[in-house]
Amino acid sequence: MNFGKQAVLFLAILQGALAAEKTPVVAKFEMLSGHVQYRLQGGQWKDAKLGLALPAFTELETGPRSKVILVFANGSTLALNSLTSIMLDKYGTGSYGSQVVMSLRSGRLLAKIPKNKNSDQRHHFYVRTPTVVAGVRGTIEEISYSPDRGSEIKMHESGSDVVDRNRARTLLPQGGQSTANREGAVTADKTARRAQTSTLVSSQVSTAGEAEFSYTSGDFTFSPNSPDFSEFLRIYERFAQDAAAGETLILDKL
Amino acid sequence: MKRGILLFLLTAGFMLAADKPREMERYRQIAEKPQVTVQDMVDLILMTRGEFEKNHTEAQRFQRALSEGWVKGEPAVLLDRGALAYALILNYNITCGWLFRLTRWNHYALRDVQEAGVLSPRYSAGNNVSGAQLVGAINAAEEYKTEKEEWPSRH
Repeated sequence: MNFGKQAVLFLAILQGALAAEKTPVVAKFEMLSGHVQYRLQGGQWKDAKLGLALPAFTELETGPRSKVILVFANGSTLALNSLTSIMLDKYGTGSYGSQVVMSLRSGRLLAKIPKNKNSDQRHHFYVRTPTVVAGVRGTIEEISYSPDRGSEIKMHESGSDVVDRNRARTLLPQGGQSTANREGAVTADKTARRAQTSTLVSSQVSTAGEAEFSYTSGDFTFSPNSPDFSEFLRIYERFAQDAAAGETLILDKL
Repeated sequence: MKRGILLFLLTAGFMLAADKPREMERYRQIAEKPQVTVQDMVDLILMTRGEFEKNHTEAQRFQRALSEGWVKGEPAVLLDRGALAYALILNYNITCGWLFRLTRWNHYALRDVQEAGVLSPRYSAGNNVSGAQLVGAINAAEEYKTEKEEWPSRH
């Protein structure tokens, strides 16, 4: 065998080995708008292109004023908002159905997971954030994470299980919302209770006149902060005293 | 003459194409910082407004923010939550109270932004901000603004 033939054989074996090592396609870009970039396992950041196939361990970032829609091999759709960063951790298929595991580092995503074909085959979709793991099947789910607000999960269709950092599992019903941050998780029932609770000015901390004034003035005039109102009254009293004494007005000192 | 116009159009096209990765690079650089500066906040807010590429240098962008009155002080100063809240109120139409309107103090700005649910109430006006927190805050402020603008059509 001469040198040329050996080289061709070597290249063919190398190409075969590389093809065997190729990871399967997990998702494809279906819609792109604005600046979206991706990188494969610690590689260089590249601009996303429509129809481009993405393997596991791909990181994705959307820039300001950007949006992207990804379609997974199992038919799940994922929409990413602007300033969102995710990583596709794992994708697998088998007799059980399919499984997608991904991490949301920051931003907001909306996932639409297809309904199960039968009871034996299910589409499992797990989203990990620094504070929760949300697992859904056959539903539409919205998840966001930011360091200040923690994780927020909303179910647009059917329910979900949420497991927080302390391994506490709670049920999130359809239309429900749950949040989890460093202090702990606020379950769906507590979130709903808070949303339906309105706080009124108490007669014990304000005079009847103050309460009536704050009611009639409306939210657009005063801050929603109640201390704002009392501090405003204190400044007003100082202003009135200064004006009466003929001194420099407090507003000039501010 | 025609060649000149063609050359000009090609150059302009290349310049615009070169700006896109520049914006993403800058965004990533800001998001990964453990502590951001006032200049970083100015750059990120202008990116979300689509005006980053119109002002090519940092000085131009800071000047733009100064002229609009939503930053104070120097660009290299570390950003604190009070200054961030002040900029968010003026850029994202966050409901503010009388005391902020009267005094324009960062302390009151932060209280109003915390009340709106955009920033966490755990911090005070003097606390510095990381890149991830800045990105999260701007995301939250954008969502707040969208929700507020869409409210009349939904109710």
